[in-house]
Amino acid sequence: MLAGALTLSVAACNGAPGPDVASGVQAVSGSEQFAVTGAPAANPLVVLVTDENGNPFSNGKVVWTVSSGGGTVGDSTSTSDASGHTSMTYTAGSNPGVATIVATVASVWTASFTIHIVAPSTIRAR
Amino acid sequence: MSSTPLARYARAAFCVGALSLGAVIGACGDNKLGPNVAASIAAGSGDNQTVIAGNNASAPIVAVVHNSNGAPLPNVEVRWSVLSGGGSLQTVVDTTNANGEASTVFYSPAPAGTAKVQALSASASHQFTVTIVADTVGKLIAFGGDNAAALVGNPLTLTAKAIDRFGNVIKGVDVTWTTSSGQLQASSGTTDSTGKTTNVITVGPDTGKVSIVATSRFNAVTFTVSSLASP
Repeated sequence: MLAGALTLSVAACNGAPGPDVASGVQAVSGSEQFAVTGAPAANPLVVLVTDENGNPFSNGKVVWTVSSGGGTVGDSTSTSDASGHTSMTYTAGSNPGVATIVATVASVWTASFTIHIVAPSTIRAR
Repeated sequence: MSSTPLARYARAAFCVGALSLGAVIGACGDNKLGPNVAASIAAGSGDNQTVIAGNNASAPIVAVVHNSNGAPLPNVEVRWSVLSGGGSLQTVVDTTNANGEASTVFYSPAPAGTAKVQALSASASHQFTVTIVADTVGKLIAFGGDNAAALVGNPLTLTAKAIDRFGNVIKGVDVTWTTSSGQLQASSGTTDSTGKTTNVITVGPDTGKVSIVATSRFNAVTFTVSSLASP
């Protein structure tokens, strides 16, 4: 019994699968970028899904929604990869302003992205 | 196997103790990081860059990972993230090369300010700072004083503001002022750190509409004020 208990505890500390529930999500890249009305944002919105210890969590389902400002996301859900990351594209709506996109994990944890939507006339050639 | 309540309690207590002992052995060890574990991360290059809003940084951000002996650590994963200030990253996961270097490229957000980018490997991390400044191209807008009115001989303050395409204020834009009538306090000015420059017009002696034009390298903006007869 003692040997079994020790094996169990040591295995858990040596990288065996941890908690099997996603318990957090963080915005990693893509917030505060700009997009032209009606066009896709240049960079994807990237989140890191984590477990209850803050470690990357793979195969975590993320629900993406546009909460304000219009526009659309490429899909309503995505799944985190082996590094805990997953991303989504965003296409701006027809009105200039600010859009907010929310990534939700486990119906509880959220990360928000802000996109600045500008009219085409404000973009200059470089 | 039969057992009494006392025996079951004793076995349970024994298991709890064993589990605790195992956890201590497995988790704590001697607390020294091995040679293949990231112990520290330093800035290689690309720290403290300045980027124009909405543009890509001109140079990559490079982190150098070291082990506990201070040697560069190859083939370890580095996770990149924007901690604050917004912006995007070309890659969010990179693996160190033979020199222990991992890199990403920062794409500036729209708002001017300061962004913090973090490189993380194991429990080691380093934060890089990027300063985002307003675009050099923008427009001049009438910020204050347009459509105001004053009695003949009285002053009105006019404020023009220079902003880029994202609304960031642009400092140091030269503005010249002209008017169809009345007397301007100054013929030129320069936008300050808030993107604004002000002027004062004393209306009169004629009454009626007065057009004041503020001209910048971007565009000209017209203020219209009214010169009213004294009662």
